[in-house]
Amino acid sequence: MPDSGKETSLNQVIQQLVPDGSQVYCEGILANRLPMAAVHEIIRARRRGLRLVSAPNGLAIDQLIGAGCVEEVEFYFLGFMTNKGFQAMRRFRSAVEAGRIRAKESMGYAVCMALRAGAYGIPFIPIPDFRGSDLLNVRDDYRIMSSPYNPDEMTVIVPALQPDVLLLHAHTADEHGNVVLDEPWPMFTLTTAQACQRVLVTVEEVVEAGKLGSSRITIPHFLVDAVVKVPFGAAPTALNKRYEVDDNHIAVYQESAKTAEGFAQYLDEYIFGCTDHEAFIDKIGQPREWIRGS
Amino acid sequence: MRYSFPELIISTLSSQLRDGERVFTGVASPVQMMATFLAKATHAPNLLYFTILGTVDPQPFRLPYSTGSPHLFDRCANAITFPEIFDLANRGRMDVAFLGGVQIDKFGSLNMSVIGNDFSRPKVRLPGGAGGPLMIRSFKRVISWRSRHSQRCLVEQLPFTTSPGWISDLKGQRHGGPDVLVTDLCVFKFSRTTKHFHLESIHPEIDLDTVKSQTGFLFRTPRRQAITREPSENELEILRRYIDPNNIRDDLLGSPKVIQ
Repeated sequence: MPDSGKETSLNQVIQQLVPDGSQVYCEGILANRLPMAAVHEIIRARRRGLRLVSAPNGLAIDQLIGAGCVEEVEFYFLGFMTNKGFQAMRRFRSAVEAGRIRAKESMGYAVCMALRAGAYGIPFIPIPDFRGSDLLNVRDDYRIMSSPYNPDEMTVIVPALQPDVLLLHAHTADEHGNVVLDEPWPMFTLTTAQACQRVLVTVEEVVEAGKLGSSRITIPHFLVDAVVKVPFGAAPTALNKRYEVDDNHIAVYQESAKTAEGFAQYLDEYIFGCTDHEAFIDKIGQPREWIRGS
Repeated sequence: MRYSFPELIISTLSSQLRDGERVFTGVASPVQMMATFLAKATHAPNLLYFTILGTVDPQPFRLPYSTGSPHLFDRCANAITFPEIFDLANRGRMDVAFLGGVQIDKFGSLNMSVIGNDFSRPKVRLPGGAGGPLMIRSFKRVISWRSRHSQRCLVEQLPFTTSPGWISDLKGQRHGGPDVLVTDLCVFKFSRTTKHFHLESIHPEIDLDTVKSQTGFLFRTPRRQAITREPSENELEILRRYIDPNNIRDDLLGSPKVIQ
C-alpha cells in the first residue's frame, strides 16, 4: 500500500500486483509516457498468459508480446511515427499472423467507453451505431441494441472493462501515493484508474506528504496500490516537460524486432542483461532533456 | 518558385481546410498536422485544431514526428480528453477528421485491420483503425491522405472494412466517408450524389494514364484536366520558416524531389 510501499522495489510490486493471467491496462500513447520500466520488469519476471488492453502504445505491447508474456491483446492502433517514418510493430504482427495470440481489435471510443462503464460501475454502455464496420462481425461481445426510448435509434453496446491492473508512468507522487501527471488535462487517466482493480504507478520523483497542491493531484492516493520511484521510467519514450523521445534507441529496437532472433538478442542485451531500469538507462544513455522555447 | 513534393502535399491538404472549422488529427499523422498548422497560419486563422492528446491549438516548441508527442501540449489554448473529442463529434460539434487507410475502396471505405481471409490468423496484420469506424460518420467531413498511390492500396473491394465509407446498403444509418482523397499522384473528390470518386486534379508532372493504371477502381474524369494548385510563396515561407524549420517533412514524405 502507498503508505508502506515507498521503498518497495518495482520487482516486488510486479510480483504482487501482476500475477500470470492478469488483465493489464497499459497507459501512454504513441511515443508519450509509456510505462516502459514496468513493462521491462514484467518481462524480467517472465509473466505468462497476460491479457492486455491497450491505448495506442505499440512499443510496450510489442515487447510484452515478443517476450512471450501475452495470450490476448485488445487494441485499436499499434504503431507510431519516428524520424524514420511509420513504425509497424513487428513482434505483434508476427504473433498474430502465426496465430500465437488472440487479437481483439476494437475502436478507440469503444475502449474508452468500456473503461468509463468500468469506472461508473455499470455492466455495459451504449455507444453510437457504427454498423458497416466488419469489426462488429469479429467482436461477438459487441451487440446491436435499439434505444428503449426510441426504437429507431440503434446503438452498439460494449461490455464494461475493469482490468486487473493499470500500468502508468507519471511525474510525481507524494508519500501517501497521490499522483500528479503533469499534462494540461490528464483526466481520462483518472477514469482508467477508477476502472482498474489495482493501480501501479511509476514516477520520476516522490515528495513529502503535503507538498503537492491538492488541485494538482490527478489520481488520489486511495485509488493507488503501489508507487515506485523510477527516474526516466518512460524512456525510450518521452515525458512531458521532462525528457524527449529517444528515436535512436527506438530504431535499435525496431531493427532487432524484425526477426525473432534479433528480438531475442535485444531481450538478452537490454532487458535480461540489465538488472533494473537504472541499468537500462546507464546502457542506452539518459534521454535528451526536454526542449523548451527560448 | 521552386518547391518540393512534401511541400506540395502539405499545401494541398491545407487548402482543403476552411476557416472556422474544428479539425482533428489522429495517430501517426504528422503530415496532416503540418497541413493543419499551415491552414491556420494562412487562410484559416479561426480554425480550431484538436490533437489526439486532447489539446486545442498547441504551438509546439519543437515540431514532433509523432502526433502523440508531448510537444503537442506546448502552449495549447486549452485541452479536453481523448474520448471527449468523440463525445463532441457525436453531438455534431466537430467538423473535419483526417482518416487514412492502408487500403481504400471505391466507396471510400478504409481497411486498417487485416489482409487475408482469416481474421484470427491474417496474412498481414495491420495496425488497427483507431477511432475511424465511428469518426468516419460522426465528423461532418473526412479527408484522407494516402502515400504510394497504387492498385494494391486503391482497390475495387476491400477484404475487410474497418471504417465504412459511402456504401449504399447501410439502411437508415448515418453515412460517412472521405470527401477528399489526396494521394502522391492526384486529388480525388467523392460525390455524395453520384457515389463515385471524381478526379479533381493531377499533381504537376503526373499524367492521367499513370493515375488510371495505378488505381484499382473506376473514377470519373472531367473534360478538362486540372493540375493541382502549386504552393504559394506565402505558404512556402510560413512552412519553411515557422512551421517546419528543421525540415522533418522530407524525412516523412520520402525523397525531396524538387518541382520547378
